[in-house]
Amino acid sequence: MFDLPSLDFVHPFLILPVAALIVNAMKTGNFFGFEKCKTGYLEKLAFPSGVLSKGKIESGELLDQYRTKTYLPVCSFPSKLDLEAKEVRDSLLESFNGLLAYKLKLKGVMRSVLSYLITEAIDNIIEHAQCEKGWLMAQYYPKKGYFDLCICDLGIGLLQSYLRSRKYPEITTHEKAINEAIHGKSTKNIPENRGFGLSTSRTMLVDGLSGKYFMFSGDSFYVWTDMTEQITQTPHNVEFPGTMISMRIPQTIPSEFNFYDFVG
Amino acid sequence: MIAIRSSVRDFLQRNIRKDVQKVIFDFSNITFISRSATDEFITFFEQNNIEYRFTNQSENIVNLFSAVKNSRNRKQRRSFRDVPVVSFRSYKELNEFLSVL
Repeated sequence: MFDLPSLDFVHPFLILPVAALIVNAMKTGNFFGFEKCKTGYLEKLAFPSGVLSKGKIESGELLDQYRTKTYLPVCSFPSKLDLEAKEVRDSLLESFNGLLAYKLKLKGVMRSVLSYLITEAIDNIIEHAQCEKGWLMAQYYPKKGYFDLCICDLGIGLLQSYLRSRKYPEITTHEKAINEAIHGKSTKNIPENRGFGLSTSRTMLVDGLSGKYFMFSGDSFYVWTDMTEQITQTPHNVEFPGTMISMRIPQTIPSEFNFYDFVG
Repeated sequence: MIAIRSSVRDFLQRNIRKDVQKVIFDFSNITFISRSATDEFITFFEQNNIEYRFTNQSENIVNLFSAVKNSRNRKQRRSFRDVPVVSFRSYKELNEFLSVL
């Protein structure tokens, strides 16, 4: 049971996966009595269904109303490979990315970093998750000088992705799947060229920018900050049915940071 | 912005005939291309043995193509280290851990 009407603030880290889970449960008939959130804050976040554009012009218009806000709302995008899904997704991502960069006044390399972190995470959903939708949301904290970006899906998760590839029989637990994924072990057939997205994103974010990286899949989650790096198994093996990535991204970059050191 | 690997793959498969010898892309309005999209570009033209060239590339796109090409020319240098695995017996312990991150 969710008791949400009294909320006046919530991190993307929490509300985005809850939105995805509610929408999924409503679709499968396992969630009742919740059509649309009518309370002020959650309604503004487009919780739970999210901003869902149908085309290029619409996605720009839908997101433009958030130009003056410190957040970008819950957004869902199609993750299928057909042409219509691709056009809607590309348009939404371009609008989301552009508006976030505008809010944060990002220029030059930092804008490339933002685009990189968003697109590599979303690429993983499209290439691996085997689900219909992906989800994303952002929250900016102007006084703290960073923003949170959360991207998730309710797809097959990392472990199932490895199991279905039949390439790595040694990967049998969520914890092992996470450990391999963060080091770039790809399920694709050209491993020399693949699997960079996850490993470079987290390294760029934490080593390069002193940000924080969190990934949850199955019954385990991975945390990497300047203070700790560990994989944690949830109590009682509670599982997240899919994969969720949450990133805390500093707004400014250290002077010694070189984007291409991490990409290459 | 050229973002998603599958979009590039789809675009190239639809628009580039495999019997051509050379393709020139005008990147005038492209401000960003993702790493995976860049890799998809390079893979497509290498696999089909087609020469390709870009005009009006911004500096960051030139640099990105260069970085991705370089990484493909050497064996992966990923270093693997086992990340410590921790279990919490209760949600209280878990919440305490998460609250200090």
